[in-house]
Amino acid sequence: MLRFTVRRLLGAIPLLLGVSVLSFVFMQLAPGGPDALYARNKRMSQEQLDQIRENMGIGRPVHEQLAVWLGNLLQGDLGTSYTQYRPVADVIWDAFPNTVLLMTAGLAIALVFALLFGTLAARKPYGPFDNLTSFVSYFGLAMPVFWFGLMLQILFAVKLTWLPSANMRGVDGGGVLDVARHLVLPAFTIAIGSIAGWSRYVRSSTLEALNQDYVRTARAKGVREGAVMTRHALKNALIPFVTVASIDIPLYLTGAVLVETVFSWPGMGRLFFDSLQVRDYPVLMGTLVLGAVLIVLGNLIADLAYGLLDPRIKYR
Amino acid sequence: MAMIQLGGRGREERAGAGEPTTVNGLIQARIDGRISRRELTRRAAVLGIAAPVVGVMLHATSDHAFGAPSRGRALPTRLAQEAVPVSGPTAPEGTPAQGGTLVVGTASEPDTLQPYISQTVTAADFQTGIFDGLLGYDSTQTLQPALATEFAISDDGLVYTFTLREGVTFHNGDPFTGEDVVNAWKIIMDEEFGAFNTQGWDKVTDIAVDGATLTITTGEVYAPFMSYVPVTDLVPSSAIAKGIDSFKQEFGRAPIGTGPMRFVEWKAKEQIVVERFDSYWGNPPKLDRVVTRLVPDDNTQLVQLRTGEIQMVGSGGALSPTRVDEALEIENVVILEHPTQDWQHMDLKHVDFLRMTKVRQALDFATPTQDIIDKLLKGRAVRSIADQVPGSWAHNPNIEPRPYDLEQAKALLAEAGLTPGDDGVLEGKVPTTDPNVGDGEVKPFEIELWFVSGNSETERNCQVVAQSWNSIGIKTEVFNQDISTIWGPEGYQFTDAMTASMWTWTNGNDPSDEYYWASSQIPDRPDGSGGNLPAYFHEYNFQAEIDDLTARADATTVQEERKAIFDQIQEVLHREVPVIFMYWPNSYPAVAPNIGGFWPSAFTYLMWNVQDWYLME
Amino acid sequence: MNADPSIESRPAPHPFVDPAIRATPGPTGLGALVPDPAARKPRGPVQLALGRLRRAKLAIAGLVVIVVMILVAVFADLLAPYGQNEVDLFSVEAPVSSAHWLGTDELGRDELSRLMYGGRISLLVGVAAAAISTVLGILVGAVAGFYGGWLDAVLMRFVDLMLAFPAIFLLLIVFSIRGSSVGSVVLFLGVFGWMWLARIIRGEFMSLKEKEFIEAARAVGVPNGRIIWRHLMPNVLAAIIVATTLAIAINMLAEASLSFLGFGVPSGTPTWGNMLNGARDSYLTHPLLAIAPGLTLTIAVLAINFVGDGLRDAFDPKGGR
Repeated sequence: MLRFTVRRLLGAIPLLLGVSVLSFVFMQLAPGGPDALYARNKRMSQEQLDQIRENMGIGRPVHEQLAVWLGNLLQGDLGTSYTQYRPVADVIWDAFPNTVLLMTAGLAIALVFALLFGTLAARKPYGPFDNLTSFVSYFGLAMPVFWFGLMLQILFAVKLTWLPSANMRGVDGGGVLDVARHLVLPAFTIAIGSIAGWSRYVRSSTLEALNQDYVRTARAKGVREGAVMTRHALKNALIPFVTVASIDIPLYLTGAVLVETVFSWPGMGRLFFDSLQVRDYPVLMGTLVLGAVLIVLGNLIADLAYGLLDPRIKYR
Repeated sequence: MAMIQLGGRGREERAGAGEPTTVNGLIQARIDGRISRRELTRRAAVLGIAAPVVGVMLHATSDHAFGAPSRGRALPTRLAQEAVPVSGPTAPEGTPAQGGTLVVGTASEPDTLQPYISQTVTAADFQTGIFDGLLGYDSTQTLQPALATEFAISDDGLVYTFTLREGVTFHNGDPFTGEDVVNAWKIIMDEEFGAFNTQGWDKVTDIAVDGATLTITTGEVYAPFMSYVPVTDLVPSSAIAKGIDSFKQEFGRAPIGTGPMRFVEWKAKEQIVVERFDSYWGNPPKLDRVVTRLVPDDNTQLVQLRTGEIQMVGSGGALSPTRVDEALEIENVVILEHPTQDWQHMDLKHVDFLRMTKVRQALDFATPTQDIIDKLLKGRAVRSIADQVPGSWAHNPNIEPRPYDLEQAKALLAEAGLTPGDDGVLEGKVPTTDPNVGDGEVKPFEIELWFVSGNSETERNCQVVAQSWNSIGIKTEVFNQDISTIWGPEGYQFTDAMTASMWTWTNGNDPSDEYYWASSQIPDRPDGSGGNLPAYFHEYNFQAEIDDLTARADATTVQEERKAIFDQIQEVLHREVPVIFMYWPNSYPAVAPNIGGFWPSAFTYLMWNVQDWYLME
Repeated sequence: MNADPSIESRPAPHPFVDPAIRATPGPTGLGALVPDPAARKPRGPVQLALGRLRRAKLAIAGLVVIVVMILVAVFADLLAPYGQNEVDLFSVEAPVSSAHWLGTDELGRDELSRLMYGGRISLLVGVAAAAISTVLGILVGAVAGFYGGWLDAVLMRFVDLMLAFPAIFLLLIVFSIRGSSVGSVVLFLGVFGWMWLARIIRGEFMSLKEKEFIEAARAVGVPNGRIIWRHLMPNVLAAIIVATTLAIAINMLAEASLSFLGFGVPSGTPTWGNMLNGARDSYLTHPLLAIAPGLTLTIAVLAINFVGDGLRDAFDPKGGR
């Protein structure tokens, strides 16, 4: 187990390096360059403009820039934001916990609802509840996630005014309840795809588990149906489910960009989107690399959790 | 041809029941039922309005347009209330309360609150509340004493003397002295620091401090000096002494000034909080706190105004003209209106036919600017004829804008040697040496019309302009790019195509306009600096004239003499149409009716008088 | 109780070759792709028949919806009451009326007409991008699965790398820098969408090539290319068709997301995503401008997913009983 973990960790390093280099290469595509806006500033003299370019390292050979950037990256230095004049790490750190909060809340909501709907549906396949969840799931999977967010916003924030329309905290807020109120709509939005997909998956694997000998044995012994469900069927259904869930992690990053934009959530997605508008390349690169790290980590955790849940798997 | 009143609105023309002689008049008359469809078409033809445009007009005035009732649901044809022009500070009736928290909304997060490197209006909105300069502009464009109580200018216009206010302290307890001004000058001119704006400061040769007397000496007579140097935000010397990195980064996130409000916190993408500074040198601020919520889009802003989550927007966060109708429907919010210093225009790259004065004049005639103002912006902008805002002393009130007149446009194009080709697109010889004489190869008149993507106002305008230009044989296609790309070295300005592009310049409080037009401001390469981009490939055919005028305007300190020069500049600009001047969009601050002392204007940023703001009991 | 011995195999040790999720071509649409054990191992023959019939009905309904949408898009010139970019500046954001059944948008363009024209690009992007990713997926998957060895190792590392990329971040950066066109959106969506199909095909090839009929073909000297095309491909055709169908839906959603953020298909071109982007400034006050294109897109994706599911059922050898 330990060896496997180490091996997977080591395997992730070239992956991350590759992602970093590719990120850098993509940044070199810029025609306007980060200085385009400065050049159109009417108070900027040619000398100042040249000075700024010098400071940004614009004009140096690409491989030199790459070497400097990678070197700094390894030391945890992501550079300085072009627009906020402070370290990228600080800028991202302001947003990162908020995104983690949103993603965690989304995952939790998805888990709870998927397990609930999935197992309930599995109790009576093709029963009314199964049909209903199946129908709703199909819709959940077919909807553009941001559109679902817009619809929730119109309904709950504008028409019913039950929940705040945007932001993460009230003016004097920051308490758990306040943040939770602001969290409901974006977290539900980001989770909708997973709720839909996972609940179908939980239903399938529960059904499958219910067909197993040990479940029949348990039933034969007179174990109550609820206990059969939770203790036997569900536990085994969870194993493949972890894998499926881990695949959705990139989906949550994608979702973060869209959902945070819709709900003005102060996270990495919105940071990324805002930086895109002003061509803040250091911030964009930082976000890209961090995003890749999250995906690789997510996959790693899924691998490990999979092993923990299913003792039959041998790690070579 | 009847002239359209400056800033006049389609609605107001309804009052006169005479013969409608403008496009708007016609449309309005049709809507009012005063003339028939056929009559509209006939009169339009008389007015020289091309068939496609008449088509638009007819459609616009057909029975289903303009919110004719459908299925019992009528669109309100007249709004319950209108925006209120700002004439002074808001003054609700009742008893002002002492203290309280005001929640403001703004559209974009400031880049930094560091006063010497920030570039955004939103940053300036905060800085005016946190910092003071020696002097400060008020909403009547008048300089008021701040950290200096008096000032004098020597007769030769080179030496400025300020009497400093005594007993002023910064938010961190440091006393304010003349040395702070000297240090500001040094850091602003420090190349390594890279200040955003060195204008004015770069003319300073010496600053001498003698107790409460500060003497600034300049090397040349520079008329715009007063609108730059004395209004620069001043910071404690101790902050500068911490080094450039700290002064840029930490100070930008936690600024210290002498202003009425003290910085408290900045939660990225969420809110910025300032609170009353008890040792403020002026009238003590009435509010305890101002919380500014960073709400990134117009929509959310409107919703939050409606729900009361925010109580004020203005300046960098003000509503755009296109959103005003929706805002007016919100109960319990007053929508204010004031002019801005932004001039919406279409730049015309001086290549091929666009080098010919007659062609540029023709394009001006063929641009339905007044229609755009009246119909698209619902009268929420003021027509412009050149680059000085009406209401400013430098504005020339004697120039009439060109009317929308396709016949005159066609005539001018014909005079320039452009005739319709087989496909109906005009073609002719491009000028080679003399910009006004076509003697080169034969080209079709194809023009690219650009706008910055995401700007729905200019997008709409461009569609209308393209439709009109196309109708007289100028093949016009609309393009857009994001703001970085469009101004980048691969942007439209540096291609060899004929282009027009719709965007705004924003003037400062001094009318100096050398930056826009002088040959010294033509960039020498695509990523160079300078504002005179239309002349990148070919200088203006009136370049020498405008160079001389703009230089003289900057070297003249007597206002009446300067005004005469600016009047002349505006005449030249209107005659030559280096760019098509369109309008000055109004700004629409919104404020809850229980807030007093709020006084926004074109000349000030949001918190310029934050100490006077108050809530009602 | 049914004691079907052909119980679905346990997931393989490596999560990413788990057969249960092998048909997942991208980051969305998981649930629709997961095999339905209830369908395969039903409680009884009646339920089996009912289940399959119901899904067949859905698939046919989906097909009908899609065909109608395609027809409307193709003949939009004839059907739409207004031109796709016909700007009516005098009735901007007009409410629903007999002249404008769905109202007008922020430029006074007829919403219904834009919906009809919008289908063209949205569907085109979905199909074209799916075609590109299918070709790439087949190519990489077949080569890796058939030849194995270092080639397989390298290609699979590359797949890992591509999967580790936060694709949306990258696409947004590229499009914001380089600008975008319908072509570039198609290309990039295709280029970032082939990895799952490659894995499926690789997995199938790996197991198939050990089978006797392949061994036999090799023994008699059939060239590799011929083995791949004549013997192996027909066996994975079903998986490819199903995955491609579902990729169309996924790409349509991706196009909408990019366009919604303003970095997809250029804004003048009507697509459902662009219409949603246009509505961003006004959806809270004019909800219909956001509801109409979003709902249309959802229905289109739903229909395609139903068709994909139907195809999977139809191809499923175990379900043929």
